[in-house]
Amino acid sequence: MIRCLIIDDEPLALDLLEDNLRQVDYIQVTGKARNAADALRILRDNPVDLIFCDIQMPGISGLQMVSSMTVRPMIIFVTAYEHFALQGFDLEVLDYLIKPVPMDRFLRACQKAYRVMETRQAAQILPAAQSRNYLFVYSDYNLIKINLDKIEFAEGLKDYVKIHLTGADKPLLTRMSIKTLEAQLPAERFYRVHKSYIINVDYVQHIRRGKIKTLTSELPLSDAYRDMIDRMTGKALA
Amino acid sequence: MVSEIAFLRSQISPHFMFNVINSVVALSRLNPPAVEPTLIQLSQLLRYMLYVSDEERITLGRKMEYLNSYIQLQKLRFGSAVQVDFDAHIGSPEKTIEPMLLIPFVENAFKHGTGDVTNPSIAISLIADNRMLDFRVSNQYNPVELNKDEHHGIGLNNIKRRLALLYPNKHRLDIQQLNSTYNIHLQLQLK
Repeated sequence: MIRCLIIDDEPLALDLLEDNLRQVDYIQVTGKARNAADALRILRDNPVDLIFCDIQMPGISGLQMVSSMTVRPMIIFVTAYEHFALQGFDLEVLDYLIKPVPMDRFLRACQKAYRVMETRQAAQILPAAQSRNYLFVYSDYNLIKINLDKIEFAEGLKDYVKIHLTGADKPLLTRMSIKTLEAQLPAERFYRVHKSYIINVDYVQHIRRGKIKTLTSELPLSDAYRDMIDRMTGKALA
Repeated sequence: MVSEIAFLRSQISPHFMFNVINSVVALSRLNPPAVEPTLIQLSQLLRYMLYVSDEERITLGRKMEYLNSYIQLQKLRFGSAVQVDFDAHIGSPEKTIEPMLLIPFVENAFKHGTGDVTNPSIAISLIADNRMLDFRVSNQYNPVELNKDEHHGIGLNNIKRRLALLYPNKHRLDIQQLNSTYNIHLQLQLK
């Protein structure tokens, strides 16, 4: 699912965009804004993959807003002004739509976003070279390098994974499934012990009454992952 | 036809037209009964813009209809986001005036009064008897935004020049910027 924010200062134009997107089952509107300041505020708490954005708006224009973003989600400008198209392409936006937008043209723009998203996800799923001791993940629009030794454990949420790092004051949130992360971690050190947890064996202290104690936390074990746990403790070899 | 189009482009921003048409597309899907009155307003505006030439004087009655269509279409675009009051009392609707003397002020009010403004509201009043025309527009504005708009000063100077040519010593234009309220007050001795 592509998460998307829509921005337009005119309420009817915003409603129309939303209605268009209702016909696109792979895009979900997670936020709406009437100006750039509100949009940036929404993005801070709810990052998205795609933004549909008007250009001529009171206060900060769509062009100014996009050029101020250091790491950008995919951008599609939707505007009544044709003459900003060149500037739009300078900003490497995904597409540029002129109001009123014919539906087939709108759908073509959405399909473009879908293809880009697919390519990005495919790149993320590539298994990490086992010799590497690091991993890159997207978080808050930044590509962050993580040293595998620092990973204490990872916790899977619905669409996100929380990576708990030693020495960090808060976990790193990244948008991927726990399964994707598991595939990127070397199997001799990282073990899936529960449908929501992967742990780094280096930080394990003990296992007691169905719970596993790592450096900072006590995590549940699941019978569904019994083979994995046995492989970690060496019980299978005994 | 060429001159008609040139004229159309000279007085109202084409982007206003495309945004209104985009609103009509939205209404046709989301609120079909509102399409018909909106298209009627739009054709009144177009007729005025296409067939009233620059030199020709128009009656106050038509001028008021034109202003009203323009305001209704702007209200459609911004919906409940902006409070708009339009008050008109025309004692002698057959009196005439040159085109494009009043609308630029209304355009400016929507341009600067709908954006980054707390409690946006626009009040327009047009009062005329057979001698005098009294026109007021007030809107909330954001001083920071207004200073960024380099076209604002140019547009205003154009109107002042036109007034000086057409109504020498027979008009008075007061512009007040108080806190976050922008007030214009225009008085004309009708010809």
